[in-house]
Amino acid sequence: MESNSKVIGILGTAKNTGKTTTFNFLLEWSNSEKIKPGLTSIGYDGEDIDNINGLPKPRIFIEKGNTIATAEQCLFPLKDRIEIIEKTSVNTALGRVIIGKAKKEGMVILAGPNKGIDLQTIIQKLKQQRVELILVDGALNRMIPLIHCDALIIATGASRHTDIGLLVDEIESMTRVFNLPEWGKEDIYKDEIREYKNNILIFQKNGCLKQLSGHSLLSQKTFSNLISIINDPEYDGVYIPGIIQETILKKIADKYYQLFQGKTIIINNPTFLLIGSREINHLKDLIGDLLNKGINIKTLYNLPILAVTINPFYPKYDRLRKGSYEMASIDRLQLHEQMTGRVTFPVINIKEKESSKLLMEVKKFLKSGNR
Amino acid sequence: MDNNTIKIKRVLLVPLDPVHDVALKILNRKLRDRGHETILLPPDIPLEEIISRLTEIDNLDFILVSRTLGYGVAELLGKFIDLAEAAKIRDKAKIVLGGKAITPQLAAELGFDKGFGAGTDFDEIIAFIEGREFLRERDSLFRKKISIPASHNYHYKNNRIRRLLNEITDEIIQWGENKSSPGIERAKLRENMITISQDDKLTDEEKNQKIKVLKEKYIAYCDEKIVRFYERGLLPDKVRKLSSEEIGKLNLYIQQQKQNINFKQMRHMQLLPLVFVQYGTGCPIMDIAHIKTSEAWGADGVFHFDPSWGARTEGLLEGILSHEEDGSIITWENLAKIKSSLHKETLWTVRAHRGLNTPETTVIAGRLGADLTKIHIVYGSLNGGTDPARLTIDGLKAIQFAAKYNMPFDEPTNEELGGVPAYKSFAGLLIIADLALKLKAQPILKPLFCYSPDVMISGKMDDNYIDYNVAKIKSLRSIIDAPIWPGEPIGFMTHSEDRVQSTLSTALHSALAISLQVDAITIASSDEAYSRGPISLASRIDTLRGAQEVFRFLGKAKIKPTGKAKEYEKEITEGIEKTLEKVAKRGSFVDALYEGLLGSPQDGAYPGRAGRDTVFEG
Repeated sequence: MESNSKVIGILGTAKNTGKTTTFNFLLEWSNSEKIKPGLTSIGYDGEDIDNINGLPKPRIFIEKGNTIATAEQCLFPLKDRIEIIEKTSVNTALGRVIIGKAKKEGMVILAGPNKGIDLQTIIQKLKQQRVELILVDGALNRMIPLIHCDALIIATGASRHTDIGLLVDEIESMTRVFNLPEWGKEDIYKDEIREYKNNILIFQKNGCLKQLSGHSLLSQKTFSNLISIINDPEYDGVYIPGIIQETILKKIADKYYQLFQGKTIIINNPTFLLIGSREINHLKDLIGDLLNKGINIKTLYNLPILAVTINPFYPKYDRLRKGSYEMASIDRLQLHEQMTGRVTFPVINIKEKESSKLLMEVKKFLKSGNR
Repeated sequence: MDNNTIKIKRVLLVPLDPVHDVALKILNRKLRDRGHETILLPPDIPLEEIISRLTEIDNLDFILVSRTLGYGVAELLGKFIDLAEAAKIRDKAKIVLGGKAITPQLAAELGFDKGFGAGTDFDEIIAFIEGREFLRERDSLFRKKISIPASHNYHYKNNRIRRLLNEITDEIIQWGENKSSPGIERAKLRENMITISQDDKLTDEEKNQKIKVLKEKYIAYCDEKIVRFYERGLLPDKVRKLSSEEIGKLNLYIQQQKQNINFKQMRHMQLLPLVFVQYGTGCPIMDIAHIKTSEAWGADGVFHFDPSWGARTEGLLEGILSHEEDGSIITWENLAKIKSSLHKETLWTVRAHRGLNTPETTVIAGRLGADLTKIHIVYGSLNGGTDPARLTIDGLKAIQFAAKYNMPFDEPTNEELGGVPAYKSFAGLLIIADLALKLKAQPILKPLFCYSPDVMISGKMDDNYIDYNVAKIKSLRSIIDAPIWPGEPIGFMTHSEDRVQSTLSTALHSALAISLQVDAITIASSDEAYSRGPISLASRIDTLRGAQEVFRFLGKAKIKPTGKAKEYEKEITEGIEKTLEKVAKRGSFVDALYEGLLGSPQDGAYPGRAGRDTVFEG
């Protein structure tokens, strides 16, 4: 039997932005509150030294009774401490993902499912263990698999950019994308969307629809096909199940806005728009521009952002000792102030007193109904 | 594997790199040779364009991405994998990452299905694509224990020398009858204690009682230093027990290393020589790190070196012990721990050769399943510091133990480094080899590839290092068909404080060894002579890489010596015969050792004093 536990994913904008610190903070809290956690990662977390820059990283310390999902090669050194519950069929570069339960407290390395469909499977397996809160640690700047969580916390910081302005622009843009309204008509077209999940769909005002070859808006060819059809005033919306590239969206805003006026562009979920952008920073203006020109953008699925955590520290490349890095920091107060001024979500530095604000958000979320 | 049985795969190769696409080009050729359908993209295409192209290609099974790491590359690869997932490419194809700095851990972090890093064999990637197990195949190809003596029949080719040796070794065996020593008695007691401790029919209490009785007898044959340990628990200076925490971590380290090890291939097209390295940092943990590193970088075998005081002390300690200075202490527990760390195909040799614990060390090595040991009476007596009579009787018994436990043993002729000319040390070498054959053991001849005092004085290496070393091997081969393993290590006395120079010297001596098709070589690290403490792993890898590189360079080509080599060979063979004549004429091998017939004080050899007057009848 599955529990109704909720899943919180931690999405980073880059390496070393504080994902695992946030993850550990929530883990410690859930253990202290006796909320049974289930833990996994879409990357490789808990190692003492970073795989890339060789700097120390936060370890992951679990309590007796905590449930984890990690690759068999990471579990091997812990086999005396972790009881193996299930060897799943989900594969990773470090072997199959194992569901295990801690017989004793101690450090673990989490390397779980690496793609969305596998994360979904692992979340189900963790739920079968009757955990109450599932935490999914992200990896680098990767975001796509995390769409299968119930809510996200975004981690950003100086490791992404040392320019505070750019950092804030990016988070503001992400905020904008995650705040896109849900489409609300998916019930009407449910069967069609499922049947043509690999095709761009164009909806007619009379309820009929047309499918295009291709599921992502990446190439000029697909885009040309789209504009030749959307020209018809009978069409009132287009659904793109895959990636939508920022440059194409910009073309719509700059050159083809008349064709799309009064029509709705529906994306699958916010991450599919974010991943299609070279510079996420520009998205806020681009979305604003489209709306001003009477073009709606909506999303089929969405999920709430509970907070943005900020980390002023970053690994600085040491030019004198080639290939090595040292810790450096940007102005943490400036970062906090500017971010809070422009972002609608709570902005939190986990290492400061305000970290309790994050717990408030999490508690609120856990109390809320299911999505 | 037969190409007909391979399931054809569709593979796309993506050089996600501004320039480096050679590896993918090679892989592309190899995949096509095996019948797979491949598409190789040009390098340096923007991510979005690659993804766009990928969405238009149907039925892909694998996407192989290669990329060198650099600033921001991790995020770039993370984005690639995200794009591939959002574009539904991951639903159909497995995405594999390759590149010099890639590890399985990094591949997991980046979200790839598999990662291949430096040291990967192209065949390993192909095996992965074809869904075959790779390690097994590679193990069978190049990491396989080989019996060094197996390809030799020990037939003499020089009858005069055979007759002289026969006469001398008959006398040694006769002399040794009814003689014993504290070392031999301890070896027998140790053997009994091991047998009892491994007897499943006995309870722990019964074992302890029986061992206690034997231990008391054992202690009676030990030096004060060892007695203090057994009676009062006091360890010698600079020796300490590893804590249980340290041992726990060591066990974990061993497990992890065994999981993660990825072997480099040492030789190119050749089967021989096997390459050995020695360890003996004093600390079993460091030793194991050296062993695992050496295995990974292609070493076929490793040697255990103990502290020099171990050879001059009657009796062995017990427990997992660390020693602050050079040489790792021989105890059952230390050796057992080291043995547990070895890859199953790594040859392991424990040197027993030169001191007061020679028979007991042979017993422990044998009972722990060592592949080889090292025994040499002449070197141990003349430059190893042990009394000739004592080492002759102990050596005789040790050789019998080696035969009993089926361990071939090598005979290092390191007295040459003291100044003894090669022909004299070869006479001693052949005496012990002949003795071993009579005792049904399997000797391995170990001439030195060195720049010895004798050649410095006589000028035999003034022009090159090749002629005289070639002459030594050819001379031995003209006498007997026995395995030859130059050591110990090759290039002795040609190293300097300069790691590049030292590595190159070892590499060139390795080239000569492979050209001569010897059975094995021992190589030093590039800081072995000058480290002034434990050697460093980087230096250890230097020479393994150096040897590997010359094996690749030389292939089946040969090094040609000058005409001098023939002259030297004749000189050495004649010298051996003359020396053996003198020893035979003396009528006593032990007296011949004392009197310098196999190396004199003028040569730089001095009969040892440790264990003098300890041989007894019985």
